[in-house]
Amino acid sequence: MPHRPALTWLRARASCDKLGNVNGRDAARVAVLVAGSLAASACTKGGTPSTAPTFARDVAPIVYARCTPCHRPNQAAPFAFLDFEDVKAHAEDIAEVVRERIMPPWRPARGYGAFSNDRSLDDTQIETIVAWVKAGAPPGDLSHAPPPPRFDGGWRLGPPDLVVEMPQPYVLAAEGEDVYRNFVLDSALEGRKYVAAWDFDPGNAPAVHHAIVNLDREGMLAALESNDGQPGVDGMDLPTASPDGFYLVWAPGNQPNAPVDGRSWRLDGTTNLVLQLHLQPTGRRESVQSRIALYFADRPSPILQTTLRVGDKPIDIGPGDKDFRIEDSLEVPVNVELLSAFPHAHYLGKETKVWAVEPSGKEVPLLHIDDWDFSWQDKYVFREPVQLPAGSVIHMYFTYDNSAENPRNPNRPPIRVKSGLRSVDEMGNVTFEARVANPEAHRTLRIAKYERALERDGTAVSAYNLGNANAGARRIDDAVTAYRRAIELDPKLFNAHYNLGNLFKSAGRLDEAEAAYLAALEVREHSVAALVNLGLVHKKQGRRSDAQKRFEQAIGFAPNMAAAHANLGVLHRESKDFDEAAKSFARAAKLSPENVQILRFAAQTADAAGKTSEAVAFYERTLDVRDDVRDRTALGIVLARAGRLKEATEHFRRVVAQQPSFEGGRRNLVQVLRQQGLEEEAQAVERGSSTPKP
Amino acid sequence: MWRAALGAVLVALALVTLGCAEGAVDVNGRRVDPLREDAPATLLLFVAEACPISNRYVPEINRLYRDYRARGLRMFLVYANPGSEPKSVVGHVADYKIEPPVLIDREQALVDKTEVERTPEAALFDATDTLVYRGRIDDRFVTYTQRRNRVTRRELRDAIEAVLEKRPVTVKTTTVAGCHIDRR
Repeated sequence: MPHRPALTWLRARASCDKLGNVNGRDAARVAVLVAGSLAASACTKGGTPSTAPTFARDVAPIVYARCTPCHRPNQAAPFAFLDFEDVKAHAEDIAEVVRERIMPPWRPARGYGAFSNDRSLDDTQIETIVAWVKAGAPPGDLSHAPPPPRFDGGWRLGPPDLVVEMPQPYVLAAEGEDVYRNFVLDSALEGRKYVAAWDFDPGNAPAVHHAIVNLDREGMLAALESNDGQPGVDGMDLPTASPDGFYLVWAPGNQPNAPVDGRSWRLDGTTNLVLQLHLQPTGRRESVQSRIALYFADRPSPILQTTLRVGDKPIDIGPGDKDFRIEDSLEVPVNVELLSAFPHAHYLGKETKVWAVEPSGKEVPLLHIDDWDFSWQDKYVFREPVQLPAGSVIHMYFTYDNSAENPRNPNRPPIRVKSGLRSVDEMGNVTFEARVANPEAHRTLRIAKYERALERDGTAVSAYNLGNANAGARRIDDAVTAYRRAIELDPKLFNAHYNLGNLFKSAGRLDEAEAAYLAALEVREHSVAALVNLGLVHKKQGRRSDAQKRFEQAIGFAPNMAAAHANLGVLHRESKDFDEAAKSFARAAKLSPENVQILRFAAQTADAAGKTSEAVAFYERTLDVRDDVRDRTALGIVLARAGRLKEATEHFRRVVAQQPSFEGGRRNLVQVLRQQGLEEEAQAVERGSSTPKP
Repeated sequence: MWRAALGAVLVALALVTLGCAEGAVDVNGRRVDPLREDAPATLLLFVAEACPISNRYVPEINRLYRDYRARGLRMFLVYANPGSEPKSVVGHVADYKIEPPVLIDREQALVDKTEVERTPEAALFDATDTLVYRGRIDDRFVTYTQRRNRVTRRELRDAIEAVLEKRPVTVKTTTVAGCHIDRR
């Protein structure tokens, strides 16, 4: 609480002094003023005593490291701390907020859990700052002060591989309550990438309080729009998925994490990013257009992660209840490593504590926030991953204050508040990023997680997620049951129909697949993915003309969908209509120039249609994307058949060099060498003694 | 206790007026004594360009101005931090679309007179130029970083209403959650 300090040191000043005017309140001030000027003059005359902290020696290193990352131009914090004058101008505010641990913002109670992103100051640092302000904020020898940190203003991890920006700004009103707004962003990505690191540019730092990025893998939120004429939709919690067990949170002052151990999450071109911004009015209209920077890894993550959530018990807090409590626990069925914890409640949250108990009985402290402030949402990253053996139980509680004395209570007078996703409802949970050792454990953990979620919330989305987890583990019957449950709960859930279709299709249950895809198309008539897959089912059913009709329908709705063209091409090829097939593949390859499968089909079909130079060109493009001995062999054969023996020889040599164990490669090389009369080398290759020149 | 302190303030005001010329200027550098003209009520509202809390109050500040001008309230926003220069103030007024007239309290004479310590902090004078209310606009902010979702008390409006209706002001001081005014 701010209060009038009894002693106001910085009142010492020259103009309009009122020494003749002494009343009760001023008497102390005058005394202080005199003492203050004495102290000040002592300082200036005799130099700063070595006991008094100075800016240059003691305060600058703390401020530059802990405050300036946010307190600099164009960042969230209100004033810049880039030199002595900047800091001195706010000395009293600084002393107050560090003493009361309001700044730097850091909610976890000290000594319970250890976190690598701990921003807080230790007691010595706080004492230093407070003593410095008390001493009149002396500069010390500024020529020896450390330089302020430099920020070049660009992305902190260097140039990103992809930047996804809100297509249009959101305009935040000058005043009003805080806004939670969600934006569904198209990555405009072709194909699949693996994201190893990310960074966030709020676009308007003072207005953006924090941001969370989730995924809409299934296009469930594509149609999300509000009727207020602005982009995005309000709400605190949407049915989105965290990307492959990552929890992506940005808050002012967060440093982006550089890629760790090859950890990454999958981003497909069809996946939308869902950006949630917590916006706070600043007093003037603010235009907010945020950007997400993504950094790609070369390959899928070797590390398996999932998010685990504990909490979400029913909440029903009567008006005036000062100490409503929920408790929950979660037993982990496999060994896990907890990487971070993200607690979440809304306005009435008061305290939360999270700990684990190992099967041996050993208690592991994880996180304690004894004065919950919903306006500081953060992900707390454990300094060392917390290893929990299978059978460990994670415990949590959250308490709530629904009394009028809680200043954060949005209701005057208090009203009954229940569980719900809107900000006026309450929630209480902790989400962990958890790492597991192998795919088996990953599947087990995910199935357990969604079974629990479905049991808890009974929602179609949970049933659908359980279906996906079971499908991923090839537990077909369980997956079917879960998808059917999802459909029962929400017949309009397109993805449940669609994934059920995919499951039946992969299991060869064609009639059931057909029915599921038709149901999906009832919900979303223009779904090209469902049309293409239905076409593929028809093909397997031997209904080729129905298949062609579906592919053509898909192309009608989405002329730029490479897969539809490619599948039509396959159909034509199987009907031996190589010219039509070649045309379809050429279109597909143009739309998806890096898809090896399509390029390979295009090459094969051009070859079958007798278009050698096109075939060669497509194989070369295939090899540019991915060097594969099969494609190189095929290219060699096309060239050899066309009499381009020298070129063929080079390719066969490389094949043998790349994969000496491949007998066919050796035979091809021998054959093409003999065709050119190079008997000696051919024999050497046959004996396996020659090292072919690449 | 308030009575005694208020008496002291009155003495102080007299002395200050005698002791040195009022130091506030408008953005063109012209001296302005906000209390010189007769008015049923005069409000000095101390703000700062870089104080996020006083900035968040701008819409309410504009509403106060619109709501009470016709009823005779004279109102000035006062910039009193040492760094406040005409240029920064003019920029701030434009940026936030601030409507009431503004003053720069270069010598912090108005700060001394009112004994305000933070921004945004109000000092309300009645027709006799007696300080009748000093403190926050309302209870929106509990600390620097903690805000109420709903305002429950609007002490400044209550005080203005009382003064304009020639009733005694009941709540005469409140604590302000805001930024310190830096003293010269």
